[in-house]
Amino acid sequence: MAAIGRGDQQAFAGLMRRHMERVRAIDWRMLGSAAAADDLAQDVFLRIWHRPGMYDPKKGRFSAWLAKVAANACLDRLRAERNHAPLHGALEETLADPAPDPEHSALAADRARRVRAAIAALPERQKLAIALSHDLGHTNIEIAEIMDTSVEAVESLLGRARRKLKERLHAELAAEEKSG
Amino acid sequence: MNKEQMDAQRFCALVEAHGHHPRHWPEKLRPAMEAFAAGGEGRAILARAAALDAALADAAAPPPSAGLEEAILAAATGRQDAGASRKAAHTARRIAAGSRRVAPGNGAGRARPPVAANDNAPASRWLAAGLLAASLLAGVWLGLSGGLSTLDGLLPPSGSDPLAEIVRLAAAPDDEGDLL
Repeated sequence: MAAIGRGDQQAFAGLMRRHMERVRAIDWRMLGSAAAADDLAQDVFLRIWHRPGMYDPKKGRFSAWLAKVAANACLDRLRAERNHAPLHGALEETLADPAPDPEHSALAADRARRVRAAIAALPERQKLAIALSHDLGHTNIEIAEIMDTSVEAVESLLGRARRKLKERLHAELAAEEKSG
Repeated sequence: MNKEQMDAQRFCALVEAHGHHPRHWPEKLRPAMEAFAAGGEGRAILARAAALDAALADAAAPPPSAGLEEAILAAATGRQDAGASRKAAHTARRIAAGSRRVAPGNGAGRARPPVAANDNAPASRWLAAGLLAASLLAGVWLGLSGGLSTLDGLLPPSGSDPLAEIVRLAAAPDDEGDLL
């Protein structure tokens, strides 16, 4: 971050390479659109470039701080979208297969689509907790810090989210258990 | 908590809150949970939780758009240059009236307003950016004097000196709504 503060473009590019996947994972789970996820990832990284002093190493790991920046950016974007027009085509894209693969069986593609739809239907904070826990591997303690809430609240969010997903994906999970 | 106090309902709720992997389980509860997980009911609950995790992994985020990192880097660099000589860049934009869209063909990208430069960039970059802006102005002037038809609508009124008009625009106050 010190190098980025000096305007070092290579350091900035390296930071993007290391963290792009994680930032986009949050953006994509929250916004349900690859295009919107790219757009918001751009906002997040440009924010870091222009204000590298935002990160204070004394306040914890960079990855957790970055997840918080990305999560807040998502929540801001969703709030803005609620007050204006909905995300263009986000739901349709969420339900569609993002990377059609001829070798990918129709059954697997259909199952992935149902999973994405089930996640998209979760309330925002449950969705965010799932993204931080499942996709990014943060502990519940870290998620509590990122989401500015208690560990107990995170456990409750994750519990309700996983319960809803299991209910909605009953058939898909039964098939997964058989194949696993 | 001992084994007698752990039942299927509690174990299921704990796995939903903490995930199916024992390393994420609360330290105090781990022995009791591991003991319960060894039984038939525990194994079935864990298998269902693992199936949910696998389903979520199958529906992970697609990769970012090709060139996203390069586009962000270009946007950061461009903003840095623009921020070094805002008035000159603003003048150039008024003449060129070009789009500042930087997201590469993602379908949901927005025209990006320029923002302030990296707040810790060295002063030498201001000089470099100033020279760049000056060369841009010279290029625009040469283009105007060469009679580029696409800029006809943006040319100053006949009889006035194009270079003087550019200099006048460069000295005009910033339009904050456009620059920030």
